[in-house]
Amino acid sequence: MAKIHAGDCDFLSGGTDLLPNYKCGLNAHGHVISLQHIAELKQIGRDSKGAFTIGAGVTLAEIERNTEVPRGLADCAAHVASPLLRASGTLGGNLMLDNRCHFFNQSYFWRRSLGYCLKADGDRCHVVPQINEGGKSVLNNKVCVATHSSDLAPMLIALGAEATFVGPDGKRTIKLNDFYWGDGIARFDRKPGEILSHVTLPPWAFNVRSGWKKLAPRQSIDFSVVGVAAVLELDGDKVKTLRVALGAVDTTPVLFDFSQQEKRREPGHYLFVDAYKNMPEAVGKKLDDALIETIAKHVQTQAQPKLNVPMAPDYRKKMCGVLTRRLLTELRGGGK
Amino acid sequence: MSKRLLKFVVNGRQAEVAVEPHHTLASVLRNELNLTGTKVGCDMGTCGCCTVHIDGKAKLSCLTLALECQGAQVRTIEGLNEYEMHPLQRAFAECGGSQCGYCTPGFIMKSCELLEQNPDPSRQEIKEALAGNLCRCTGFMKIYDAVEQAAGELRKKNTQQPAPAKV
Amino acid sequence: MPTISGSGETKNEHQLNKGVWTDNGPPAQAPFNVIGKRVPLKDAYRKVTGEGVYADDMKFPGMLHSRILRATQPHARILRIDTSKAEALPGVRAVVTGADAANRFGVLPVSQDELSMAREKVIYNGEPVAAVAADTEEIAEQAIWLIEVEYEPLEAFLKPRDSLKDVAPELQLHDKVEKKHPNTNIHKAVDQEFGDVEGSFKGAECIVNAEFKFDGISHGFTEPHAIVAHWDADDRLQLYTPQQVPHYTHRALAKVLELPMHRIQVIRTMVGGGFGGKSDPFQHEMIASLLSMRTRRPVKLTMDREETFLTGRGRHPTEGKLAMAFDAQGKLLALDSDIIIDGGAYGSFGVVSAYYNGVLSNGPYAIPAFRYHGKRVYSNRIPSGAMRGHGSVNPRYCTETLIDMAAVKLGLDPCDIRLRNFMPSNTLTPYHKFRITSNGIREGLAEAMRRSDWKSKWGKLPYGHGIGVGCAWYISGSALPIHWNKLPQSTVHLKIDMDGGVTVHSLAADIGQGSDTMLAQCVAEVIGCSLERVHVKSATTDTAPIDLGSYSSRVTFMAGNAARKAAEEIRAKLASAASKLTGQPAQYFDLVNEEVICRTKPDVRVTFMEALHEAQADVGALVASGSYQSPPLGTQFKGSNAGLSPSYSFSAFICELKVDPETGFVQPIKIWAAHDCGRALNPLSVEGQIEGSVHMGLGQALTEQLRYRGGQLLNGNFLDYKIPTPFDTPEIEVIIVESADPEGPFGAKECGEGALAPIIPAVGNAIYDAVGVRMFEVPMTPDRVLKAIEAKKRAEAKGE
Ligand SMILES: Cc1cc2nc3c(=O)[nH]c(=O)nc-3n(C[C@H](O)[C@H](O)[C@H](O)COP(=O)(O)OP(=O)(O)OC[C@H]3O[C@@H](n4cnc5c(N)ncnc54)[C@H](O)[C@@H]3O)c2cc1C
Ligand code: SF4
Repeated sequence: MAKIHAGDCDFLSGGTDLLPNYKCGLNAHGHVISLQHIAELKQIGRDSKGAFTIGAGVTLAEIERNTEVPRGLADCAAHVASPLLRASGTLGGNLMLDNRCHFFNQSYFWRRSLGYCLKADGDRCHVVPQINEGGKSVLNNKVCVATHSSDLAPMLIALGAEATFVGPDGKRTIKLNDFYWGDGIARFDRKPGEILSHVTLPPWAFNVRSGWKKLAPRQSIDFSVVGVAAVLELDGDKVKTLRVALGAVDTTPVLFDFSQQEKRREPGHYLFVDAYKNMPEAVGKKLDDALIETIAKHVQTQAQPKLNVPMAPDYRKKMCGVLTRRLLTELRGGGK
Repeated sequence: MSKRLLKFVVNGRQAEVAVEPHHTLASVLRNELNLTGTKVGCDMGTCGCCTVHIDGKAKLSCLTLALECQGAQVRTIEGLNEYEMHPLQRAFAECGGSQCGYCTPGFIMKSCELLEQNPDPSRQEIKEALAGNLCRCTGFMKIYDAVEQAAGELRKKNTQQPAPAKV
Repeated sequence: MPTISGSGETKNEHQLNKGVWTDNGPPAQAPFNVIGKRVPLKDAYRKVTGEGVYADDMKFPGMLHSRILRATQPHARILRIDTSKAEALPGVRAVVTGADAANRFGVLPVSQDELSMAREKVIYNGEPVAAVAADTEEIAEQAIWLIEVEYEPLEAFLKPRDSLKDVAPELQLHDKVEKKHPNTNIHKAVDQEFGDVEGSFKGAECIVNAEFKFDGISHGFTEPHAIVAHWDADDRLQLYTPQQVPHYTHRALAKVLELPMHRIQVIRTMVGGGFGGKSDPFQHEMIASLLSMRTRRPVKLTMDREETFLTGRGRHPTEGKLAMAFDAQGKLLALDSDIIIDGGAYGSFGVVSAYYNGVLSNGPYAIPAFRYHGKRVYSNRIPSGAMRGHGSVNPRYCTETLIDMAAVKLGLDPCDIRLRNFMPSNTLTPYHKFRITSNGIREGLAEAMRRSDWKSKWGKLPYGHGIGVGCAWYISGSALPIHWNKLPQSTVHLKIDMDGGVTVHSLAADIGQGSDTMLAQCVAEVIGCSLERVHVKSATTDTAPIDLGSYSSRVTFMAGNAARKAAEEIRAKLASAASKLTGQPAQYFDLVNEEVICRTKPDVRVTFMEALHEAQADVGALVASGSYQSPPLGTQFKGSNAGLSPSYSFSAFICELKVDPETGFVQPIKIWAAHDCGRALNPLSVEGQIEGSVHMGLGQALTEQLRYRGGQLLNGNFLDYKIPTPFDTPEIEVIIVESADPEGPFGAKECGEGALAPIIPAVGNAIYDAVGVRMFEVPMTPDRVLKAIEAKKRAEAKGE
């Protein structure tokens, strides 16, 4: 079916993101194909080859309660939205979650009052109204900076997860970090008609300490305005693996791989954050307070949140540092 | 778009309704089946007023398409009051867990799921379960009281029932 | 001596004297029967089962659905409206615009400035411009966007200070503005000065002052606005609406639709929360009625959440500059306040708000010298109005913060400085002559201090952990009705027929606060019957005598008293019937527990039903009417009516919390809420009201704010408008203080509104205790708190 409607179809999983957006008339497609009754998407656990996979249709509540997944992932799932939304919301929907912006997640009436924007029905961006083109400041009719707001995406990226898609042209597997790409409209490179089948965690993800810190105005229901995922492996008191991923600061999740296993896809992988710029070398060093502080400062300096979700960008930027420091300190102590 | 036939079980009764594919479960329950006990407070998944059980799980009926419930078992607030009032309903009334009453069905349905999974929840567990429901009147305190009282009553009821004969 | 009870300790130990109504013989010594008992709300079982009917639950044969087209500009001239395309859409039955209703209305007779739909210009983004009735809601929604409206934008007034300027007439939002400032957008200015303000400040040992800013907030009731209007076959309008004040809607409908009032029946449905947000007569009520009159069909109008926010009437965005003077002992000498409140597009209750923001600062402390300059302005934003604690909440934060600052300056404990300044009971305020009757605030604060272990916590908790106090008072019903006439403020009718059921007719609106239950309790107590016998009909204007509705915390005091009086009439009839049956004098009879008992010979007794049937001989059903009218109060200067009330409630709250000094997040740990409600007629409800007030106040204190982009509300939904979730709400311990008001029914005064104000300063003052910063902007969001902490650190680094 997806093949037939490729281009004009959306998939419905838990519906907790799709339905609010459709109710606001946001980029509604002519056809919605439900994935809710596909049993293969609902499996979580080790496959025949021993790899740990999570099906796209697995709900957040199931991930939260699963005792085998890395701690950070369970914890992350447990802090998404609210219990009611986690009962419906799925991994697939979470990873494909549409980016958020307070000029976009509004009713038709509201957007009409404003004059619409690039991401839906319009021709300009209201968050970054002007861009620099050839030394001149011109109307921004190109780039949407809507904020990537999925919580699981940065956590799974920190854990080195790979995503497997099934589409009209067959199956493909891609590093989750490479999947997210582009501005607030493009967001990722999903081919038309393709569905996410599952994510696979690498074996090392089970040997590391992982954790998640979320900043949101309220302690339930709300989306993150900053999310920090971290994965740490120590060799004695020295760093062996250290990966930090941020949510809600760019149009995609942003990975800081301090052990530099994973190369960035190409410059411009992230729209605003240059995760690699002068990144402190951490591997082999003792993870003392000073190193944690340096890492936190680096993350904070690089983060460039935009004013399109709740809470001021400068505040959120600062919180990237605070949360990173706290999370690493916790993980150094063995985690929660 | 054309209507499709939805067959499902609502509060133990077989129901067949023709529904628009884009209609939510909340609107079908309220408008087609006249089960108006399920309330819609925000229609966006934030207030929890529309909570019902779908195959035993508490879910938001405003973010569930009706057609997704093809063949499902749905239970609403009306379904808790058959032959006798559910202890949760009684407790919400007696403990002052309901003031304006608009969020009440949602709170009761979510609490009902909790007590089915955990007959003796702590106050913290109750809070965690209800963290997706908003009440503007009570400040939540009396809602927790009600869930605790109902939990006690249900436990008493269950222990009073003769234990199943051992084989 | 007030008695103390509450959620933390004893429940329901009210062994108090009855005998409020015996005018012959010694007062009965029996305890109350139903007063003071924890009884479930009369309509609770309907609510918990889903049987209760709210407006959106209603269905009528042939019912149409409607949607409103709203202005997409904050301030603009309407050049053209073309409805032809919408009318041509199949399924559309009627389209109405401003041209269909010329009469203006508004809740206050002095501010008749609302139109059913905009006519020449629109004055806020979201104002109704046109509406459609159609076979389905979807068709109606489709149709409104086929209506073409051409606007010519005008300069918008989005900051309250801009509205103070002189402008050209076409830039004035309304024809009628404050007389003293005829060329501005100032709606109402209030200037009051009493006592020697200048002198007091000159001679003061300690002066504290600050500038404060408050964002607007919304009621956030869970039921979105919904109504059904039906112009029926008898050519009468039946309007089903969740109104707090059916009577004002009734009046406004008559005016707008140009019908005699008796051809309209307003029927209150269940109300899914109000908090002041359902107490104005509304445009949508007019619109649905117009559509129904046009089509002769029932018309339902259900708003979505955003429209409910846009309909507004929440707490005014406020800016204030306040100063207080104290002597060396911490005695309050003077208060000087200068406040601007942003009224948004309409008048609403705004004239009252403008007064309340000043005059309600004349308590709970004695204020020897008082000055207030207040302005309420119109702006091109969502209309502000009355919200729980109307007019008193924001200035209360200011004064309570200043008192705390004074305590620090003078080296006093913040609770002690308050205790030094509380007004006594049974007194008149010096200038406004507010009549203070019973006052249990001292006992309340003392108890809250004791339970919270204040003395060993305040100033002694580690950095990031603090405790703070806030006190308040509030009116128990506005003594002067909005419409000047000789009618009582509340009338209650009773009817008892041979079936023994007691029917109470009243127009006091049960909006979830439990007023039906309160009326039933008052009646049952007086006539000595069980609560189950009493059935309250408080929904329809055809059968209910007028009551001014549920606002200004007036219902228990006023309708409760009216009910009590009506019941006393019945009581007398039952007593004489018992006298006839037994031969004992009527005045010897007590009515208790379904029996009529002779006090001097307790064996002589008849049952309630025996007495009833005897009393009904030859007359049939017993009927009675009781009413309440405030006694003459106050004094004689312009505006001196504002703030007058037959009685005042008092509250003293303590809040313990933690502040994360790195993120600025505030986590309340526990709240002790002492409130003097005179007498807790139903402690379950009293606790519920106080707990609810605390929760709502915490929202304003920490997370809730209406945010705008220009004239557009940015967060008109429950995701971005941050009502505290269960995790954000700490344990609340209610301390009920019963001071027994001499005039309130069984001693009761209000408890639903006054308990909101003190929590906000209690939070602010606790933040100061925790991290040493004063918060002058509310809500105290994490970024604001962090900014304050950082500013303090910078200042300390500089050695200031
Ligand atoms: C009030 C509220 C609060 C929320 N808070 C959070 C939060 O804190 N953190 C957070 O991360 N999210 C939050 N969400 C968003 C959402 O609930 C979750 O992200 C959820 O996991 C989405 O899953 P779903 O199955 O419901 O997605 P759906 O709505 O079903 O789908 C979302 C998108 O993903 C696509 N999609 C789904 N599955 C697949 C698949 N297998 N292959 C390809 N495409 C697919 C859909 O086509 C759609 O475009 C919140 C939502 C609400 C309403
Ligand atoms: S960031 Fe994107 S969604 Fe937001 S206004 Fe700009 S274009 Fe629109």
